[in-house]
Amino acid sequence: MKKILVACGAGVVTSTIAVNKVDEGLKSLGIAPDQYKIDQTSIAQVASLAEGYDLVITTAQYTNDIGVPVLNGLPFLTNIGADELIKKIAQTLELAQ
Amino acid sequence: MSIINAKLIFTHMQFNSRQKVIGYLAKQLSVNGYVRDSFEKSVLEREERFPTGLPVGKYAVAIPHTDWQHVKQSTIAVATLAEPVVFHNMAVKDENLAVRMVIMLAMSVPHGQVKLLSEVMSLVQDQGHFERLINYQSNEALYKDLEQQFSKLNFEQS
Repeated sequence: MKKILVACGAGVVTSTIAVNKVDEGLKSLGIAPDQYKIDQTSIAQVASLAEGYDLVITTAQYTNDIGVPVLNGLPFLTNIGADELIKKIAQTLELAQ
Repeated sequence: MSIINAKLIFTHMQFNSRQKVIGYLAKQLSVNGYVRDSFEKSVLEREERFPTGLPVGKYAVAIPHTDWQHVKQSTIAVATLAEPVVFHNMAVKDENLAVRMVIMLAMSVPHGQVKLLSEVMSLVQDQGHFERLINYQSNEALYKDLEQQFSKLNFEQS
C-alpha cells in the first residue's frame, strides 16, 4: 500500500480537485485501488505529516526538502500535462498495473 | 434553488488590482448573505500567502477562496475583466499572470464540493468556452451560460 499526500494552501479547494484526478488517473492506468491511499491536507501540515507518506503532491508553491518526493499538481488544475503526471506518479511509487 | 445567483455575476469589470477585484466580489457575497463578514479579510490574506492564479492556455483565471468557516452558503461569484489584472501563479513563486476572469469560490463544507469544483475546472479548461465567457457584454448573457453549466448541480446543493 503506497500512501500519497495531496496538499494545497487551504487543504480545501485545489487539493480536492487533485485528489480526484490522482484517483481517476491511477484507476485508468489499471492500478488496483487497494494498492494506494490518498489523503488531503494543507501546505502548513505537509512537513509534519510527510514522514508517513511515499509521495507528496502540492498544488501550491512548495520547495522545502522533506525527505519524500514532491510533485507539483498544477497539471491537474489546468489539464495540461495531466496524463504525463499520472504516469510519473505511478512510476515514482512503482505501482504495478 | 440554483447554486449560482445572477446578482453575483459581473461582466467587463474594471479594477486596477487583485485586491480590488477580491474586495468587490467578497462584498457582493456578503451583502447577499452567502458569507460572513470575516470572509473578505480572510480571502485577501490567503491570496497573498497562497496565490490562486491558474494559467489556462492563452488566458489566466483566478479562483480566490478561503476556509469554510467563513461561508454560510456555497456559491460562486464571477467577474470577467475588461483589462487583465495581475494575480500570482499558484504553483510558481512570484510568477505574474494576466487574469481575465475571477471565480470566487464560497464553500461551506470542510473538504470542498467535489462536483461544483469539477464543473468550475472543466469550465476553465475548455478554451473555447472560456473565451466565450470573457467576451459576453452583459451580465445576463454570462449568467445564462454559467447557469446552464451548473444547472445539473442545483438539486444536490443545500
